[in-house]
Amino acid sequence: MASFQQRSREFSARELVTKVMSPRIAVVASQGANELCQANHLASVVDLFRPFGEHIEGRVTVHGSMGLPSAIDNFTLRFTEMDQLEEPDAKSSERWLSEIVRASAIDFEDRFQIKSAEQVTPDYLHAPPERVTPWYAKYRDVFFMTGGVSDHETFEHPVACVIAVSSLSPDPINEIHQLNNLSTPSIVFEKTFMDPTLLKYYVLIHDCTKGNLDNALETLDRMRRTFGLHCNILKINSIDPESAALPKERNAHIWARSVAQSKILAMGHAAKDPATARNSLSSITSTGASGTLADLTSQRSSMSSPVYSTGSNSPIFAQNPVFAQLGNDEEDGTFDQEPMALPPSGNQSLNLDLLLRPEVPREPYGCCMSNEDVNAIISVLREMLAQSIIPYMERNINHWNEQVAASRKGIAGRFRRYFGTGSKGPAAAQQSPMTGPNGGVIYPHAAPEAQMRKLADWAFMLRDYKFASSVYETAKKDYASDKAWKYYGGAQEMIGLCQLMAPQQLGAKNDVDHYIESAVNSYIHKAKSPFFGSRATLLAFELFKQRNMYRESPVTLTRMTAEVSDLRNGLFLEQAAHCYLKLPRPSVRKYAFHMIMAGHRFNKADQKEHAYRCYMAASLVYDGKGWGLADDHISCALGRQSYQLGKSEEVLDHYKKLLRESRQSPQQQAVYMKEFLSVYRDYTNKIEADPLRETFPDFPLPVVLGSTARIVLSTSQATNEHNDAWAELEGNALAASNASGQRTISAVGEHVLATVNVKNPLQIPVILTDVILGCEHSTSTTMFTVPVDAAEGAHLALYDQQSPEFQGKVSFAAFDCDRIDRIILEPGQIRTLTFEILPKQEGQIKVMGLHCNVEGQVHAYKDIVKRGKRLNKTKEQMMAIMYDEDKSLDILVAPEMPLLDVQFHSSPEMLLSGEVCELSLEINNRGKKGLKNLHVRMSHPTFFCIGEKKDQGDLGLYNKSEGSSATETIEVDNSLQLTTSQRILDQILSPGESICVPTWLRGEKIGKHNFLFVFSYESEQDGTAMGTRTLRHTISAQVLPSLKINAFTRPSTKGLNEFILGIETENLQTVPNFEFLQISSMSASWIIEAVEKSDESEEYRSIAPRQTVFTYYRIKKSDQATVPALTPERFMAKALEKLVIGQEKLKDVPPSLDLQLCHLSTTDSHINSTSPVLKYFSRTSRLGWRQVSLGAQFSSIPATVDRRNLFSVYGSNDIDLALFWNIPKMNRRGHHYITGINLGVQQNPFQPLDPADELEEGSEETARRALYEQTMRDQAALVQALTMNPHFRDESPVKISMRSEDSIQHPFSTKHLCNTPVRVVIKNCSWNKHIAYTLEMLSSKDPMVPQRVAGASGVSPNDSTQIQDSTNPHTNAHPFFWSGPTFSTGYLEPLAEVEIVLLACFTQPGMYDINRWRLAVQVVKSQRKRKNAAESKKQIKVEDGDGFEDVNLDGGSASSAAAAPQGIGKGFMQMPNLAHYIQVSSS
Amino acid sequence: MNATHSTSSSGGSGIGSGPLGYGTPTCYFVMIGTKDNPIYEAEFVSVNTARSSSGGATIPEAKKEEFRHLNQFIAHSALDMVEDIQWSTNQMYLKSIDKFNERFISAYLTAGNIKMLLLHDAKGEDVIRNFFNECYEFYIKTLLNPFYEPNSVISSPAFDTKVRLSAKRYL
Repeated sequence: MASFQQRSREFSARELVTKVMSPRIAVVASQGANELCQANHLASVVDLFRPFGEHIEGRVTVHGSMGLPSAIDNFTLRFTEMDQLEEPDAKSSERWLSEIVRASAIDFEDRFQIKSAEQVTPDYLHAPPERVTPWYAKYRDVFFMTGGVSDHETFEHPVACVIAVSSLSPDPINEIHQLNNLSTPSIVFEKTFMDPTLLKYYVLIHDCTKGNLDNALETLDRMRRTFGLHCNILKINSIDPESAALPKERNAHIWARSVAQSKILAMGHAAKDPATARNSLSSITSTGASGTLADLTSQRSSMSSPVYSTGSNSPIFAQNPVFAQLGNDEEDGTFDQEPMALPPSGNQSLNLDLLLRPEVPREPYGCCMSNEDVNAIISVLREMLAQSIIPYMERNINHWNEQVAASRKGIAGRFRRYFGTGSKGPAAAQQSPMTGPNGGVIYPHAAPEAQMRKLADWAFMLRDYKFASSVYETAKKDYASDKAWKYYGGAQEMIGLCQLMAPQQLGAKNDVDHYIESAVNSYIHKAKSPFFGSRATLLAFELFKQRNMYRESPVTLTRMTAEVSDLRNGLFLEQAAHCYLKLPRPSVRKYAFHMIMAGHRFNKADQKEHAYRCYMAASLVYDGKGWGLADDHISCALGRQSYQLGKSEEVLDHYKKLLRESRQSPQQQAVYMKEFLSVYRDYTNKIEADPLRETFPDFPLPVVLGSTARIVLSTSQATNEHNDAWAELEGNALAASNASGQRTISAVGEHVLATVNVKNPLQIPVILTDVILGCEHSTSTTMFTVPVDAAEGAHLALYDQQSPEFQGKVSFAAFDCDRIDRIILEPGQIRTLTFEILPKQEGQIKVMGLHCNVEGQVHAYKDIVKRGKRLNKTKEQMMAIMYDEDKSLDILVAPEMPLLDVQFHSSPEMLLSGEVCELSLEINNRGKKGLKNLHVRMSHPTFFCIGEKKDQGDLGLYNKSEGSSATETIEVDNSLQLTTSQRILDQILSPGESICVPTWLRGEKIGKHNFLFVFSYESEQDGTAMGTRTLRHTISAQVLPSLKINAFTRPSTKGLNEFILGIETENLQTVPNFEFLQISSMSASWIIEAVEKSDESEEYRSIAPRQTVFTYYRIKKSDQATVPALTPERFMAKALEKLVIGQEKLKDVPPSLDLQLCHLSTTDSHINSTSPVLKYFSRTSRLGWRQVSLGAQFSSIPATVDRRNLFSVYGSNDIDLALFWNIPKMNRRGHHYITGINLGVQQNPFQPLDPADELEEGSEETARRALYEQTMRDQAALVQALTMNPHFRDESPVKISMRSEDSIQHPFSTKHLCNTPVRVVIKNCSWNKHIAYTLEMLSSKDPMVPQRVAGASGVSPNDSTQIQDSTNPHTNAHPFFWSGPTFSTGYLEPLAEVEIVLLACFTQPGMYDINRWRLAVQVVKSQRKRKNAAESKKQIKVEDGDGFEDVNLDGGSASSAAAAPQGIGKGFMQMPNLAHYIQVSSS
Repeated sequence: MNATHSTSSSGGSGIGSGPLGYGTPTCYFVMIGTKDNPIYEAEFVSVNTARSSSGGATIPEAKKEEFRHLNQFIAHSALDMVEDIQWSTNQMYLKSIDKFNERFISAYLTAGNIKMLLLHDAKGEDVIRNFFNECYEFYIKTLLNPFYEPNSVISSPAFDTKVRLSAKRYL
C-alpha cells in the first residue's frame, strides 16, 4: 500500500494513456450511503471509490475481437458523480490550472543551469520530468480531469452506473428504485449523442459498527433477486475512530489527492450550475472542522507570495504612472491587468492547497476504515470489473462488430450507406446526423457512425489497439465525406495513438506525426475544439517521449501555438525546448529560443514567475555572445517581470544592462531610461534611501574613458603640440622628475587641472549634474593605501557639504575640487571635463573616480581606471597581458614652492630675416617661496639672446665706435659647445616679485617658427620633494625674407695668397630701401680690406627694392695673426685619429682662439664687437651652421661620440662675414651672417697624421698596435667612411704665381734675343703636408697634358683639334722659349715658400702668354725620413730616364729635399688656368 | 529536416501570431563567429519583398523596430541546424536550413567556421548563393587586414557598404 501513491505518480506514458482513456463509471448514491462515507471525512461514495478505481491491481483477462483471451494489468476505472459527467466550467478550470502552474513555480530552483551542450549531462537527461518541470506534470494531470462528455468520442461516456445504498436504510430496495429513476433521466442523457443504456451495478454499503451484518446480507439477497447478479456488498467502517487507538490519519494518504481533485471538479461544476454549487459548497464546509480551517488559512498566508497575497497584481505597479501608461500601449500585454484574479475565497485557497500538497493530508480521511475494509473495497471493485464490466464490454463489442462494423467493411457496405437500405422507421430519425452548435455534424448515438466510434473506443479501452485502429480507419472515411471534422480529427488522433500504443517498434518511416497533425488541425481550425487538440498533443507527446522521438516532439508541441491558451502554449513551448536538449546532439540554441517564446507566452498568461524563470534560463545561453538586440529584449523582459514579482534588487541589475551602447532605437532607449528611473525611484523609496546619497553600484552611465584621463599643472600651456620637441627640450629636467615615478608634482596652493573624458553611449541625451572628482588624500608621500570605501566617504562628505551658497567648488580638509553643476551629454558624445584641484596640504592626492548624478535621480560613481604601459619583459608577462601600474593620476603635493610665470612683451609677430628686435621677458614669481637657479632651454637658441638683468643699463646691441674701419682681436671659445641651458637669474626672486629681462630676437631663418622655452627653477628652500620645477612657454613669429646675399671669393692675381670677395646683395622686399651699414669679418688669420672704389659710395649704401648690388673686397692674411701651437685643424685631425684607433674617452676640447675682427663701415662710425648680444648671435649662428655642416659631413661618426671633443667651431682659415643694415624709414635694423668661407686648402680633416708631427714615437707605436688590435668591422667602416668622405675633395696644397714685368722694351734690332727673368713663387699652403714638387716649364710648342686636366678651361674635351692648346686659347703668334733650366724639383715644408727665377727668351716683339708650365706635386713624408728618401733617390732617377738635370737654383735645403718623393700621399698635376701676358715691344 | 516549424497557420497565425513572431518584410543578414557571437549584422529592405508585402497590411516603422530582436533569436537558433547539417555536405552553401513561420534561413559556412545566415522570404537559391559568395569574398579581404582580429566584430564601413551594395544587387 505504501507504494501506491508513488506508483500512481510515476506511471509510464502508456499507463497514462490507458488511464485517461479508461472506462468511466457513473455513481448514484443514496443519502444514507453518502453519510456512511462522511464518517470517514469523505464527501460521497465516489470519493470513497475513486483512488482505488485509478489503479486496480492484478490482472484481468479480456477476450479480444477475435475471441482470443489476453491479459491486462492494472486496469483503471474512473468514478464520477452522475451529475458531473459533463465538463466543468471552462473558465474556472482554466483558473485552477493556472493557479496550479503558478504555485508550482514557487520555490523552484533550476538545478541544471543549461548554458551550453556541456551542461546537458546524463544527470539532466535521466532526471524525471517531474523534477525538471513539475508544473507541466501537474498541469497535465489536472488537465485530463477537466474533460467531459463529447459528441465525437465515448471515452467520457459512462460505461456503467453504480448505484449505492446504505444497509442502514430502512428500505434499500425502494431506495434503489428511486435512484434508478433518478439516474436514467439525468440531464446529460437528454443529448442525442448519449446512449442511455448503461450497465447497472448495485452496491450495498454496510457499516460494520452500526449495522447488523445479517440484515445486510439479507438485503443483498433481496437485491440479487430483484436486480439480477450485478449486486455486491461493501463492508466499511469497522473501526470506531473515537475508541480506537489507531492514529486517525493512517489511511488519509490514500484519499488525500483524489479528494482534492474531486473538490476542485465540484467547484468547477458548481460554477456552471448555481444550484448544485450550493450543495457542494455546503458539503465541503460541512466536512471542514472550523479549527483546521483557521490553521490552514494561517499556514497559507505564511507561504504566501505576492501572487497570492495581492489578488490583483502588484499594486505598486498600477500606481506607477510610467508603467500604467506603458501598460496601455504595450503590445505584449505585459502590464495588462487581466481579470484573472481569484475572488479571495477561503475555500478556494483551501482546495488549491489541498491539490498542491496532497501528500500532506489535512483531514483524517478513512479514519473508520480498517485494513480489511480497504481490501474489501478493492475486492468489490475487482469483482465488478472482472465479472460485470469487462464481460459487458466484450459482449457489446462483439455485438456492434457484427451489427455495424462488419457491414461497413467491404465495398457493399460503403455503398449501402449512401443508398440507404434501412427502414425509414422511427429509428431513422435517431440515426440521421444533425448539425451541432459549432456548425459541425453530430451523429445521434444510434447512428452507425457513432456506434463505430463507440466500438473502436471500447476496443481501445480493452487495449485491442489493432482492432480499434482498423475500425477508426473505416469510420474516418465516413467522417471525412460528411465533413464531420471533429469526428474526423478524433479518428485521426486515435489512429495515431493506436500506432504509438502498439507494443511493436515503429518503422523508420512512420506517419504517426501525420495523424496527430491532421487531428490537431481538424480539432483546432475546423472544429474549434482546442481542448481535444491539446489532449491529442499531450498524449502524443507523452508517447513520443517514451519512444525517444524527441525530434518529432517539438514539432507536435509547437503546432499547438496558434491556439488561444497562452498558458498551455507556454508549457508546450517549454517542453519543446527541453526536447531539443534531449536530441542526440543537444540543440541548446533551439532550446534557448523556445524558452524565450515560452517565457513570452507565460508572460501573456500572467505567469510572471514562469516567464521570469524561462527568460532567466534562456539568458544563460545568450549571455556574453553579443546578440545585442536579443540581450536587450531579455534584459527588458526580465526587468519588467522581476519588478512585478517584487524582486527590486534584480530589477536594477536587469535594467542596468539596458543602458549601454546598442543598436536600439533612441525611442526604445528613452523608454528603458524612463522605466529604469522610475524603478529606481521606487526602490529607493522602498529602502528609504536618498537616491542622490547612495551610490548605485556599477552604474553603466556615463562611460569614463580612463585611459585618456590626465593631470596637468595649471601653469603648463600648449600641452598637445610639439610633444617630441618638448620631450627633447625637457630631456634633462624630466629625467630628474621621473625619480618620483610619473606622478605629477604640484605644490600647496597651486592649481592642478584634471581632465577626464566621459562618453554617453546611449542614443539619447543624458544629463549629468553635480559632477565631481573622487579624490583621496594621503599624508604620506611615498606609500599610498586607500581604504576600500574611501571614494564613498568622499562622496558623502561632498553630499553633506552641499549648500546653496556653495559655488562650484567643494572644500575638503586637504584640497578643494571643482564641481560641475550640470552638463548635457548628447547622444554618443565624448566630452572632456576639466576639474581644478587646489591642494591645501602636503602629501599625495590620488584621483580615484568620478561622482555624478545621472538625470538628477541616480548617483553613480565611476572608477577612473588607467593602465600603465604593457609589460613585456618576462615570459610570464609576454604570455599574459599585463600592465604596469599607472601613477599619472597621482598628484604629489610638495610644500609651498615658487611658481614661475613668464611673459614676453612686445614680441613681434613678423620680422625680417636678419632683423634684430628687442623684447622684454617678464619673470614673475607667483608662488609662495623664493625662486632661484632660473634656467631656460630653447628650441631655437640661435634666434634668442636673453640678457641679464644687471646689464640692463649699459647693454646695447650695436655699440658704435669712431672711425669707419677698425680691427679688433678677441679671444673666443672654440669648443663646439652650445650652451643649451642658459642661466637667466643668479639672484633669488622673492614671492610676488617680478622683473624684466631684455631679450633680443633675430630672424635667423625664414619661415614660421614656434619657439619653445623650458624654464627650470628651484625653490630657495632646499630638500623639497619637488627639486626642480619646469615651465613650458611658447611664442611664435614669422620671419620674412629681406636680403638675399651671395658671396664668392676668387684668388687674387695680385698676391699669392690673396682673394677677392664679391658680395651680391639683393633686396627681396618690395617697399623698403635697405641701407648698407657695415661689413665685418671674423677670422683667425684673414682680414678684409676695401678695394679702391670706382663708383660713388652712395650707391653701395642704399639698395632699392628688387635691386641687386655687388660690392668687392679684398681678403688677405692678417699681419697680426698669431698661429697658435695647436691649430684647430690639428686638433681635429688628432681627435679623429684617436677616435679611429679607439681611444675610449675623448676629453680634450679645442683651445680658445684669437679672432681678428675687421670692420668696414660706410659711415663715420663703426659698430664694434663689444656687445655681448652680437657676440652671442655671431657665435650661435656660427655654431648652428657648423653643427649642421658637420652633421652632414660626418654622419658616419656614431652619435654616441660627443662632437664637442672632435671638432672646433672656428678653423684657422675660416672667415665669417657680418653685414649690418637698417631700414631707416621703418626703423628696422639687423645683420646677416655669411659663415663658412674657408680660404684654406681643401682637404679632409681626417688626415693620416704625419708621425713626425706631434706624437711621440712610443705613443705612436701603441696607437698603431691598438689600431691593429681593433679588428672590429665597424671600426674599419668608420675609417673607410672618414677617408672616403665625399664632402671633401683634396686639392693640391701648392699655389704658384708668376711674377714678371708686364711690358718689356727690347731693342730687337740690336739684340735678337730678349731674355727676361720670370720669378715663379711656389707656396705650400697646407698646414700639415710636406710636398715634393716638380716644375716643368713648357715652351709655347710643347703640348700640355690635357687628359690630366679635365675640362680645365671651358674647351669641350672631345674637340681633338684644340687639345694641344686647350689651356691656352691665345696661341702665341711667335713662339718663345725658356732659356736656362726649365725643370725644377724641390721639397716644401708646410707653409714654406720657394721662389725660382727663370729666363724667358723672346725672339720677336708681341704679346706672350708666359703662364706655361706644368707642376707635379707629391705629398711626401717629412724631412725626418730624409735618409730613406735619399736612398731611394737613385732608383727614381734611373726610372726617370729622359729627365732633365737636377737644377738647384735655390741651393740649401732644397737640394736634398728634391730627392725622389716618397709616395705616401696623393699626387697632383697642376696647370696654369689663366694666361699671364707679357707685352714685348721693340724699343 | 528543413521544416522544424511547419506552417500550421492558414490565417497568418502560428508561432508568430503574437508580437514576438512578427513577420518583418526585411532580409536579415548576419555573420556569426566561432563562439556564436555575431560579427556583422545588417538588415536590408529588399525590393522584391517590399513589393510583395505592399499588398498586405502595411507595417508601421515603429513596430518593425520593436521586433528586430526576433531576427537575432531566429538566427541564433538556426545555428543548431547548421551544425546538424554541416557534416552531411561538402558544400559551403548549405541552402535553406531552417524555417520560422514564413521565413527561411539560408546558411553559408566558411572554411574558418564563420557562419553566414540570411533570413529571407522564399527566394531563388542561386541568388542567395551569389550573395553569399560575394560576402565571403569581402570577408576574406577583411581578414587580410592585419588590424582585424579574426572572430571580432567587423566595424569597417567599407565592408558594410560593399555588403549592402551586393544585397541591393542580388536580393
